[in-house]
Amino acid sequence: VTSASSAIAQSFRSVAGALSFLLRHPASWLLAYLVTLALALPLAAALAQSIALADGYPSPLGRGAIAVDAWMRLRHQDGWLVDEFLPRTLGFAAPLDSLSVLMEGPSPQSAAVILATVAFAVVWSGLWAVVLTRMARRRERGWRAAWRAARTLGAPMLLITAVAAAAVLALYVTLRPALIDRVLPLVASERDAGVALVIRGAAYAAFGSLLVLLSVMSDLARAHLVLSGDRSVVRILAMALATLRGAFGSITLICLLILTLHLGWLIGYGVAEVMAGARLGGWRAVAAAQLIVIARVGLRLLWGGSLLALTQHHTRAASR
Amino acid sequence: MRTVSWRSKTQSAALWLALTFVALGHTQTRDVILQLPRSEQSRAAQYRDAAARAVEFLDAWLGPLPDGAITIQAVPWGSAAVPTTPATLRVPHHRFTLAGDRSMERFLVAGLARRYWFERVRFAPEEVWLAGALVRFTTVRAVHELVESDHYDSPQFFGGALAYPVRFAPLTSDWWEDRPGAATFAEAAAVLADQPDALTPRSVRAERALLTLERFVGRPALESAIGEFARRMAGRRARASDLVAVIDEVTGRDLSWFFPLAFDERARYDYGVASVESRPTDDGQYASRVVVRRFGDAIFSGTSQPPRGVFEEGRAVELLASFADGTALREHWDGRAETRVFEFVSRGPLLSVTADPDAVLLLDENWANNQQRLAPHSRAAAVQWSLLWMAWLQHLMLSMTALV
Repeated sequence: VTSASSAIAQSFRSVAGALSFLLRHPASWLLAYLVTLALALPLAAALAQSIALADGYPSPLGRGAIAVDAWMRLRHQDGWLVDEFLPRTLGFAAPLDSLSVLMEGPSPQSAAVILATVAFAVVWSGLWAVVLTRMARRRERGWRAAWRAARTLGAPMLLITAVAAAAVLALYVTLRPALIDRVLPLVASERDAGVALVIRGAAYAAFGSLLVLLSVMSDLARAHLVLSGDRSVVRILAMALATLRGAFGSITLICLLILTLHLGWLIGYGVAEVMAGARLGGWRAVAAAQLIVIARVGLRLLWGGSLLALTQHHTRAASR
Repeated sequence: MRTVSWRSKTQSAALWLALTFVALGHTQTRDVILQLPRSEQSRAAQYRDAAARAVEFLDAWLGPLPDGAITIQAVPWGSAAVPTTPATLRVPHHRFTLAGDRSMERFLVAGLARRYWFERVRFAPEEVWLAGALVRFTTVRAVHELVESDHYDSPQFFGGALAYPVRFAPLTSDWWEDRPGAATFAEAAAVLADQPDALTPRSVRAERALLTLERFVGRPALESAIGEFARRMAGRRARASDLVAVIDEVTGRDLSWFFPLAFDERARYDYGVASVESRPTDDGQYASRVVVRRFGDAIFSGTSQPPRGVFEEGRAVELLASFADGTALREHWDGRAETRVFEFVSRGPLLSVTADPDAVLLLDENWANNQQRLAPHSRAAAVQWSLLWMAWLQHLMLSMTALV
């Protein structure tokens, strides 16, 4: 009982500690958001130029033949142009789409979008080095410390990202087709809605749990890299595995806490959207879309920061 | 005056409903059987209302369906287990959805449109593509009429288990026209997924031909012609030539220049702007030269009359030239020659040239070459659109990297 209550307390402390850090040091949060912005902005600028000329679908989108109404909207540069084309950009549909993409796999994208995503993963490796170092060693402040962290830990962080990406890819190529592509069509023919729902939920939960497990492993590996300074990815992954085994309960609770935060925010947002019934458009829509991105970046940092705090506690306890 | 009343009773998982139509002095009663799973029974009124409105609209347009019950069966989205029968309309439903989702209404209309064409008219086996095209045309029009301004884009998530109507993306017509938009066409195509004869390239082509003609001769004229065709052919064998004859008669036009080439998939329609020049002259004005080109082999002339010497006959292809001083000129072309040169003298420079600016020729295969601009639009809309797209890209990047 003592051990369980201690694990629960530690989970709450880890999440609260990371949240407190993000709120007291918004520069890290801002930096992470600016990175997403900086990587997406050049493509958006190219898109704006193409749209202004309105000869067809802008090249960054990589679309084929243009539909006649999209062509008409481009011609008229209509204020509701924003509605036409990517309704999953904004509102409750955006996070739903993100979750669905994780389960169903992304649809084919243009080379520019794929390159931007890869660049984003590379830059975030450096960002993790900076933010996690700042979280772990709070006295090391300023741009010099940040640069030092990125320079010394950036490469192993990138290697961790690459290993995790390979593992995720392997899951998408092997397990996902077996579990989701084969099981779910059977569910569709199931007449009992309750049974179908349970089977569908179980398939998503099984696949999603493995994805979350991989994410946890890579975040624990990053935490060990920052805390130990050991640059051997093999040893770091072994340490991460040991932490995962030793603090499985706390980690699960952290996952649930952050998931609850995420779901609470999503549901609150969805209810507000449905209740308000308003059509967001123009610059308000642009601002709302960026606020959602900022919230998502914050949740991602909270996830990594909480696991860092837990790893820190676990390492200290083990060394005693 | 048409009224609809209902009587209904509930038994087990099904609802038996009856429609009573009082039209022009005679009463027609039709049984509509709703077979709804328990999870859908709370929406029974919505199903009933949609069926009543769709039947009423299609009856008024195409003539009444033969007597007989209509069974509407709600099946899980993506279900392949329940066989389609002529008497049963399968309407897929999502496990989770919200009130703004009109997928059910769209599917219901598509299924009913199929019954109106396939049960009332006999098509030769080699001309089923025409039936498919008429189902498509009727579905788009009926969806537009029944749920206009009250339906939204409903992206599906988790393999169709969840549909979420996006309220800021209504599937309404655009402000410059009162006709269904491309999004409605796309939705109609989606709801016709279990009707393979409506999805053949030839059916799609024929539907585009009808929509082009609708834009050329006007919506009331073509709708009347389609309704007249449905009534005349009730219980008879119909061919494409019958449809063309009825359209000719009702619209009062000789459309032999358009049919049957418009139904022929091999004929390629494509008009576009080949080149644009605009330069200042010595007297302070601007001289502009525009070359419009027929890139395809099919001709959209607007008349069966041949040209008289150097004088064109027909003015179907329109050209819009916009100038910096606010002037907008519309010119016409019979579309027969491979190219046509237009020359303008204006006070301001030429800003843009658009071939077929009102998108009449929906058979055009390449819209990207229909306009050339010498100056960009105002940036505000383009920037807003791009910034929203950027948010989508940020979400994608965050999702893809959340796990690694």
